[in-house]
Amino acid sequence: MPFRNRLLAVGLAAMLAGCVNLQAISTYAESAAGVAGATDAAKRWRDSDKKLREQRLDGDVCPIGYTGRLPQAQFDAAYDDAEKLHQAMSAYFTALGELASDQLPDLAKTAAPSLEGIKGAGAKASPEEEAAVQGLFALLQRGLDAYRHKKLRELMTSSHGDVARVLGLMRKLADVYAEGLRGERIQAINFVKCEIGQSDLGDKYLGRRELVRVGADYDKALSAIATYKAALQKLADDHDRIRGALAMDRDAMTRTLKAIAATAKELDKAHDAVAKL
Amino acid sequence: MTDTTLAYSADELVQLAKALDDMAEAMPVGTPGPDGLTAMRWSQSLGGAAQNLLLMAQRDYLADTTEPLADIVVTTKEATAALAKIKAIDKIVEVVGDVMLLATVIWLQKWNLVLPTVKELRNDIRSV
Repeated sequence: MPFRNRLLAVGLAAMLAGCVNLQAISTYAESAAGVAGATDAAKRWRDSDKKLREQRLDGDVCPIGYTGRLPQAQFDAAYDDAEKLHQAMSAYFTALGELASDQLPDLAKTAAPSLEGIKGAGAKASPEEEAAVQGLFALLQRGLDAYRHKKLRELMTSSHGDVARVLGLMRKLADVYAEGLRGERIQAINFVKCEIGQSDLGDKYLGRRELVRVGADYDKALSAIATYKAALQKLADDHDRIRGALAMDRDAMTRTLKAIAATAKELDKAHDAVAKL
Repeated sequence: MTDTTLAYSADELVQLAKALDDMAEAMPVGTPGPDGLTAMRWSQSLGGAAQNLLLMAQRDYLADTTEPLADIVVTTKEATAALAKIKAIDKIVEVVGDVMLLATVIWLQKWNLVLPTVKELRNDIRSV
């Protein structure tokens, strides 16, 4: 290999060696897929009547549970539809993560055997030539990175409108589930109040304690749904930021992606909170 | 708003469900004796109606429906505010009964019955 070409290959490889590691996007997308795919809030809403009725014990005087509620099968069907939406969104983020991850074949590693082959055939390879060959393979690897980067940018640009719309829809659905749970809280508390009203004086002390306990349980669940809803908003914002970052210069992109990777932990926390519903 | 169709949005269905839940919360369920039990049963019906409206909203969100239900939301809110002033259980039952009927005609999508029901509810609120 002429020295000039060798120098060019090594030089180009060195220039591209600082190519942005898209692993940050991959890590983030994994958390995003988790929170976007979480159907726990929808499930909790679907099972609301059952949960409410579970609170009644033998000997209770007051009735509990919704009356005139449409058949459970309709709530089950509504949940199934919502689940499809979550699955689609989760699949999208998973795809994004896979595209950004280092799953593509590592060409640099396949360079060594080829070079060994040359040596075995009796040809002499100088350290400089060896470095040049390694450099060329590294260059190919960088090419794949660039391809991945470009594909990622294309995917995120073409999907951006839909992603924003669906995440917006998911936030609205989260409002439905939150109101469902608030309504359930009111029913559960009314039940305890009713029992206090129907009981003798001795039970009223315990009844008041029960009121506090039931209220606190629901408040915890409502707060988990609020955290989940905030995470969906974050997801929409981050999608926009990642998309923007892919069009930035290397340093700005690295900084932005680092910042976004830090928020992945928040998404995981939101996912964990809602999973406890 | 016409006789046979009613423009509404899923957002407004959620607001209406909220108003019904608030109304359930305002029911005097802690009253000793049969009045407390009656109030509890109405609270359960209001809760059930709210859940049905939420189901309708959820479906509409998924179907991307957007239309206004503002009049009814406002009226139901007024009704809830009026509840606080009512002392007699039979008067409460009258107002809540109207609200329940209203919620029912909405989820059954009997739009021609919505306007007369709203009118009836307004009359009952005024007479409180």
